[in-house]
Amino acid sequence: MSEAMMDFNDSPEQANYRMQCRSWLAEALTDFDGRRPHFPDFDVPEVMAAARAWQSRKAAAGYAAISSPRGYGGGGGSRIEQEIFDQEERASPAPFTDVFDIGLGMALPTMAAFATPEQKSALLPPLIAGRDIWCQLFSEPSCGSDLAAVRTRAIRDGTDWILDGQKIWTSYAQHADYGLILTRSNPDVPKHKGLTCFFIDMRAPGVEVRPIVQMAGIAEYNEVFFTGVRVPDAQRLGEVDGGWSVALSTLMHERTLGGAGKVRGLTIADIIEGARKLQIGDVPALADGAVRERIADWWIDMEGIRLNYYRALTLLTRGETPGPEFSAGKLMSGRQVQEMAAFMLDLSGPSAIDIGDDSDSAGLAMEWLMAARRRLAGGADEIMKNILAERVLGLPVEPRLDKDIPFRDLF
Amino acid sequence: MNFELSPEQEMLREMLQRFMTEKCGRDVVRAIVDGQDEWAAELWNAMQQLGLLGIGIDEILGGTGGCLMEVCLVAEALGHGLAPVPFVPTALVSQIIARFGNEHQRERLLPGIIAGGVRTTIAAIDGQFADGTISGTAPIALDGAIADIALLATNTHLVIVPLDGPHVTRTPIGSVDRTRSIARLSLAAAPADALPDAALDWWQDAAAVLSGFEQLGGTERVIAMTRTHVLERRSFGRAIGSYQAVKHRLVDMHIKALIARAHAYHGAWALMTDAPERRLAAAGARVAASEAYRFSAREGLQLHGAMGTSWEHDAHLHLRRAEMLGLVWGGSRIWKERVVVQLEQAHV
Repeated sequence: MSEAMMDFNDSPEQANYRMQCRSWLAEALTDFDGRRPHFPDFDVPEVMAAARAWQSRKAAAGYAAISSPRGYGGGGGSRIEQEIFDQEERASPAPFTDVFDIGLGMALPTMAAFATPEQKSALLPPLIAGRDIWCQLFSEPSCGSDLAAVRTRAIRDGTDWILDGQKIWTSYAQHADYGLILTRSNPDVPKHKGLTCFFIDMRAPGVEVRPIVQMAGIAEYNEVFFTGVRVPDAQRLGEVDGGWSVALSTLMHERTLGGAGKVRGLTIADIIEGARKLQIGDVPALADGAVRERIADWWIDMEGIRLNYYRALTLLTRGETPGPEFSAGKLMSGRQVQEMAAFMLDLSGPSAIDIGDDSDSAGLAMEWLMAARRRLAGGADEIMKNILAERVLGLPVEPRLDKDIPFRDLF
Repeated sequence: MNFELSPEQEMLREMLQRFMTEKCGRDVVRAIVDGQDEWAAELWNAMQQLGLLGIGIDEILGGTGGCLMEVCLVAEALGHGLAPVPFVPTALVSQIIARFGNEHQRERLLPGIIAGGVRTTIAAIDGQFADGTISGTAPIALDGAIADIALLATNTHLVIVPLDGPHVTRTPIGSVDRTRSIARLSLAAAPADALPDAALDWWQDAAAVLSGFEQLGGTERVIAMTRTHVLERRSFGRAIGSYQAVKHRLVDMHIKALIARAHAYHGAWALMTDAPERRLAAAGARVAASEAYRFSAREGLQLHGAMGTSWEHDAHLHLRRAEMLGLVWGGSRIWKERVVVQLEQAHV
């Protein structure tokens, strides 16, 4: 079959790379005990230590940020190789490294596109090696979906900017060394046109982080307060008042590739295994027609999303940029994990009320409680649908009453 | 890993779109729906002249060349145009004969199919094959009213049966989809020629995938016509396509189409390469495509308002076609069960 033909199998080189990943993982993981919590809480020192150790181990072997240039500590490989490694890593009991996801998935490509060569050389290697943690300071108390309405002020002061305001829902800010921030630099122009992006030192004077305990009892999110925080103009990303396009490129990475093929969590294999053990009356739940139909429906959607994600990878391999049509992956997977977790709890019956640490339902309950977040982080379901409707199907944009009005006159 | 069409396949798609716009307009479809003609013979002749009836068949066997993916792209274009022609059953038969038939079977059947003179149907039959004859009834033979040859599947055999002899009775049925000529076939010791067992295992998967592309084409057409409608139709001073309830409904249709397309491509690839996951991939293609077309036809009709319920409007033609294609190889529950059986085996 010629190279131009559709092919879902690994090429010989890809198969070779997969075997290489697999044997490296097997060997590298012998140093880790393989015991993982149901869900990673990086406030637990052992969980964080394991994440840092594993990330650094990967970086030393060229498996962290595989598709980033070697000069910055990346692996110098392709997107497909990154995907192959990710698949193999997900199938292994490797320590959770979610705390680096914002840095690797969003800060890294944004910095690669907008930072100076000196900044990249200084900041990207420790990000990739798991020494530095990054967060993304976008949402605010008064705006999440309407991101271009951020109010955190950036006022020019010589060669610096002074930041004042508040961010919220900032994942891993309590652990972060650096952050990407979207600010209001010019309130006298319409909202999209007066924004500027920076990267900031999270230890700078005037930055205060307050964790928000979520419904599941752990704190991934934070409120972050800025009081007279001084940021050198050299840390600006993109043009002054040109921050919206920087933010959009960051969000595209989050929405396109974040939710599509690499969502950790309940899988069809988990559901089948659970339905084999659980019973409805005297028969295994897996023999029940209604259960079987749900499994088929979920598989159809999940597999469709996974295959569609490969289409995005194919485009990347060809040097093309996957468009907003790939936002569908995040939209579908968030709701689906929530549904699957709820269904499995129901199948478990009254015993699933016990979700104590040692109970059978502890892991499932954690998935269920955390699933709500998936449908909101990186764009609420409703916003994702608007994006698909407007940017893929070309339907009219939502009426925007604030579009041509100077930001300061909106309130 | 490569999950996109080749440049040649993209060219074929474009060519097919132009061809369908030119040769399969509304009048062609309506002539069949309103009973003036039994099927679109002129369209079929035009397809033959372009070599579309020999596509996916080796040039050595008299075909046009190309692979199964090209056959699928033709099915997609025909589905898009609601084409009243027996392409999917005929292509299924020619693919099966080319792949599994012996030299005699190939020589006897392929030239006639490629030349357009021999049309075929393929169907499951409740009956027996023994001593070179078959008896029984195939209640639903897609395009069976206009077919010359049938491939009929008993539980144990897939056999070739000419439909012109005295041992065959065919009765047209009142099909939910009026664009296709479906018949009931009753056979009493009709002469039949068996294909190898491997063909019996293959045909349902191939039917699932090829029909999946036809369903996908129909889905895309419904989405396109619904999109046009909601952009033009105005209520309360604005296009109805600007209301979020309408936009989000179209997005639901779009996502189902996206998922169906991913599965359809995967299914075609699995068939072509005889991949170990072929059965699962084919069942996935069938379930996803049936869901996408039925859902889009139903919700697309809804978004057309009362006009969508009229005989004159094409919305019901898609609703009917989607239902027929969703049923013809067995309904979704059957195919979802195939999915789960495969998944159980994969996750022992």
